Amino acid sequence: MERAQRLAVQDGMRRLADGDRSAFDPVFAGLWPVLRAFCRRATGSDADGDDAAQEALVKVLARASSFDPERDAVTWALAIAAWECRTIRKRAARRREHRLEQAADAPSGEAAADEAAASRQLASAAVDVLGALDPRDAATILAAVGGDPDARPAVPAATFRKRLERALGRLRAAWRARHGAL
Amino acid sequence: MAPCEQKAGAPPALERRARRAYERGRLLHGLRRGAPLAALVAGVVLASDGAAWRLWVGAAAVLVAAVAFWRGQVAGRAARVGALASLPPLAAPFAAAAVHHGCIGCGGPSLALCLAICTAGGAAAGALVARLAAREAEHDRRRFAAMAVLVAACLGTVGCSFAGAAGLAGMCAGLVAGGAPVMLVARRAR
Repeated sequence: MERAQRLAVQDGMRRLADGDRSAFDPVFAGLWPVLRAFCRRATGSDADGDDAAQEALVKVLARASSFDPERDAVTWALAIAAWECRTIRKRAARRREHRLEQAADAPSGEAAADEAAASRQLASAAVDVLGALDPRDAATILAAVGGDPDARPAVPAATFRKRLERALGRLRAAWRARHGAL
Repeated sequence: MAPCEQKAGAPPALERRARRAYERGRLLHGLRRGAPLAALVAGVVLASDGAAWRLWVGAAAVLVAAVAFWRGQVAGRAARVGALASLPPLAAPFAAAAVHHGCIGCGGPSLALCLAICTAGGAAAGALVARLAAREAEHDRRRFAAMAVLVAACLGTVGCSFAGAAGLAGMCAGLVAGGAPVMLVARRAR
């Protein structure tokens, strides 16, 4: 911002604080581009930045009567804008969290379709990896996952647990070899 | 700077919203400035005889001052000075009670004392208004003095009415007597 423009805003704010309505236009015109550019940079989004700049400008003018002429008007306005950007960022973060919670609680529509497709892909990949394992390991895992006691081999429980641990270790290694981190 | 070019980037509704916000801020400013005056008037009236008409005069003065604070500029500055100048006449009943008689009402020999206190309070108010009016620009001086005297006289009435019509007359005489010389001296100094 040029020095002359800054001084014009300073003088305008001083007059607005005194109740001189004719200073409204120069202050509005001088502050709007500065606040908009600042808020766009601060929020990293044009839409959020414009929202924050509008709120900030309205608040600056609402508080103009209490402006202390000893302070720098542009810095004062930017401080209000920074607070507004922070508020908007927090609100956006809360909205995102809320959406994620909603999606987790009640998958529906597009989210549910995405989730089903992902599940199908995961199951298919798991079957491929299982197929590559030793058949005994695959049978042990399937017996454990299925939860059917009759499907389990006739061995003591401790032996079955050890077999299962070994089979799962091989499954993890095979998965890593094909798909990277588990 | 070219205001029209730069304002073109702003949404059309934003300017209207900002203007409304500014006026709302001014209104709050007026009310905030008027609130201590209202409390002062209520305190003075309740601490003396509690007459309803004094409360109404005080309320009118507070309303005028609040509107002046909302408008700002010369009117706002003048109302501030008027409110400040009204403090001596507002304190008159308490000064009279402290100096001479414990009662609030004036009459007989104590009327002279009450009259003197109200005149002195008015003179102090007039001198202050004239002194600060002299600092204003030439074209604003009359408006400033008129608004400041209006607020000071209305608020002062709340204080000096304890001495009846004589007290009010004394206060008004004091306002003129205290303000005129200061104004003349200030004018000559220029």
